[in-house]
Amino acid sequence: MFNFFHKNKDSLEKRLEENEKICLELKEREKMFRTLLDTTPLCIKWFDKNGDLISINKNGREEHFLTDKTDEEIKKWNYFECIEKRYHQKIKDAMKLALEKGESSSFEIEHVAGTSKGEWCQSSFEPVKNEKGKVEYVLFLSRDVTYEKTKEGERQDYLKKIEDTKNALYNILEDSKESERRAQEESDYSKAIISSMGEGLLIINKDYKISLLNNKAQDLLGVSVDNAIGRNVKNIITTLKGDILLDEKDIPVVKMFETGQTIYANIEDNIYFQTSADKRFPVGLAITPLVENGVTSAVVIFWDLTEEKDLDKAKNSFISIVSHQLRTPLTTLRWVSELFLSGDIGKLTDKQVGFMEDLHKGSVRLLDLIGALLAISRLEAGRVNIETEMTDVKSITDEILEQLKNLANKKHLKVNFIADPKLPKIKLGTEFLRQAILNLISNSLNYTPDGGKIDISLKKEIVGDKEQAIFMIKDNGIGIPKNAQSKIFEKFHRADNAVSTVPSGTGLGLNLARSVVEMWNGKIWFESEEGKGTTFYFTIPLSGMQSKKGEVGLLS
Amino acid sequence: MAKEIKKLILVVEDEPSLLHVITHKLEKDGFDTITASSGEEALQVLEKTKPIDLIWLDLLMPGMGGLKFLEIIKNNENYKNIPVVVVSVSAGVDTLKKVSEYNILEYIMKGQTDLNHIVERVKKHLNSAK
Repeated sequence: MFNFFHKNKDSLEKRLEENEKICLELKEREKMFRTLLDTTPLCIKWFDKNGDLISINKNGREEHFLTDKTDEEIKKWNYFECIEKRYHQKIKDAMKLALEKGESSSFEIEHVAGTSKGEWCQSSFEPVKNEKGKVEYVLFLSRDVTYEKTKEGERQDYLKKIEDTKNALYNILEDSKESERRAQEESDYSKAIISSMGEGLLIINKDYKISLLNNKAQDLLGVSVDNAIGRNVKNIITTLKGDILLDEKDIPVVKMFETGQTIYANIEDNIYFQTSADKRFPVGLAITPLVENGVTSAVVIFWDLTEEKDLDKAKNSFISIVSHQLRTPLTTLRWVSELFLSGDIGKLTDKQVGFMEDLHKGSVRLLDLIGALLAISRLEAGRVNIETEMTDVKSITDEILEQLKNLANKKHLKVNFIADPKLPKIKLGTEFLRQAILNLISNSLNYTPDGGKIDISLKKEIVGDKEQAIFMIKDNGIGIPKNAQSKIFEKFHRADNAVSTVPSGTGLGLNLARSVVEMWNGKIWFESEEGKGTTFYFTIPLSGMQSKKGEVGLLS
Repeated sequence: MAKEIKKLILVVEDEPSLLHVITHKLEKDGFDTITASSGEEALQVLEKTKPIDLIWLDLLMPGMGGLKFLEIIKNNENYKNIPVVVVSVSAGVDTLKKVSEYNILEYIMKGQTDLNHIVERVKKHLNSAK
């Protein structure tokens, strides 16, 4: 028995030695594997042959914020929670493949935000088989590829941006080519219009230098592009009103630059251009501002009115003849009715007197109308002869007040007239002055109701370097309604309240007054409020008016 | 008492209705009148009729107009001293000027004046002429 024990004791001891050696080896190997597991940057989850989670390596735990969890808790952790839903089926399939078929597979997955440090993982299932080929374990390995993904994503984004920008640039280029083409079309079109238009076109810069003139302008002004472009327009064109040279400030182009407003002149404005070749012709004008890059130029369109003026003249002789033909029988009417009224053709009944008065008034009214029309048409045609003499404005006013005395008394109007005794005589056409004052005073008398008050004053004043007389007439009459004020100087225009006060007015008085005031370069204006009264003003420069040769008198 | 001799006025006017009313008025107001419708007719009247105390002259007449007539009589020794009142509608400025060169009493605008007023002026002129 003892021998068996001894013999076995050696083999047992050998066996124990062997076991110890193997144990140490295993321990060494385990240490190696442990270190590998804990230091690998991979996330390693391993599962048993049923697909249940056994454990997760250090990095995996860190990745999924599980470092404080125990092994037991880890086993219970549902790793699907941290993976985006759309990958779940793939994972299940891959697990199945690994467990049942022992095949490995790899794919990309995305983590649910907040459940993992990384977003994207390159993952694979690796089955672990025993010597018999049966799957004992499955390893689920994940490599964080978020950075590469992001970078790739960024790269793709960047490439897309470049592509988009390139496309946008192409579009812009196309558009600008199109715009260029259209601009060229517009330019050609404009050029065609400018060169073919029947009116003269000038573009003038702020220094009055000509920057453009079309064919018609060259024709009308007798200049060519070469000797006009860059030259001062005032050296090529002299602007006149009738025969009178316009003051610098009254030149239409200057006015436009001054005010920035469009200036128009038509046949009634009586504007003439005179060229350096002494060609003088009447013009219609339209001058508009053109602003480019903050710089203003003037676009001047002008046309020759010679034909219209000739027609006008013909019309005026016609008017003269017609007015004579009208005046003669009207005078008969007037004088015959007068005769009846003064009892020179027998006594009239009261009724007859009434009707005769109507006849008389009607004829007077028509004669006044014809007279006014004639005067206006002559003034406008520049046909009026101007004979000037040193005129005492105060005494003319006194005469007119005397002439209209009866009307004032009949309406119990209080009329005051104050004149500056130091106002000198002024060189004027007396007829003209008379017309202006007569019309204004008549208006005040006619449009101020009974018992009203009219104040007239005549003063001397100095405006800038010009001395002038200023005539003012203020009444507390019916006033001019706001909607009539802008038109009150127009021929035949009568405000509604004027028509009801004086039904037989001509509507020509103010037009004539204005034409007359403008003949001596005066200004006429008013202030008025309906129901309160009107104040009219006009000025006469002390230098007076120029004599001018004309064909007819103002009223004769 | 000597019978007051009425003054004789030659009215030269081509418009018949006006002639009619003017002469009626003048006669009503105590004048004698004789008429002519043109410059030529007026000259004939002047030759045949004396004395004419005043000529009422319209300017715008066909044929020999008032201006020509005026020129002729003012250059005629026999007629140049007869007072003339021009009563007319329109005249050009040159005409007006020429008219004013002659010694006429007054130029009255037909369309703007009452007949009474003109006759008053005529009376005034004739009274002062006395």
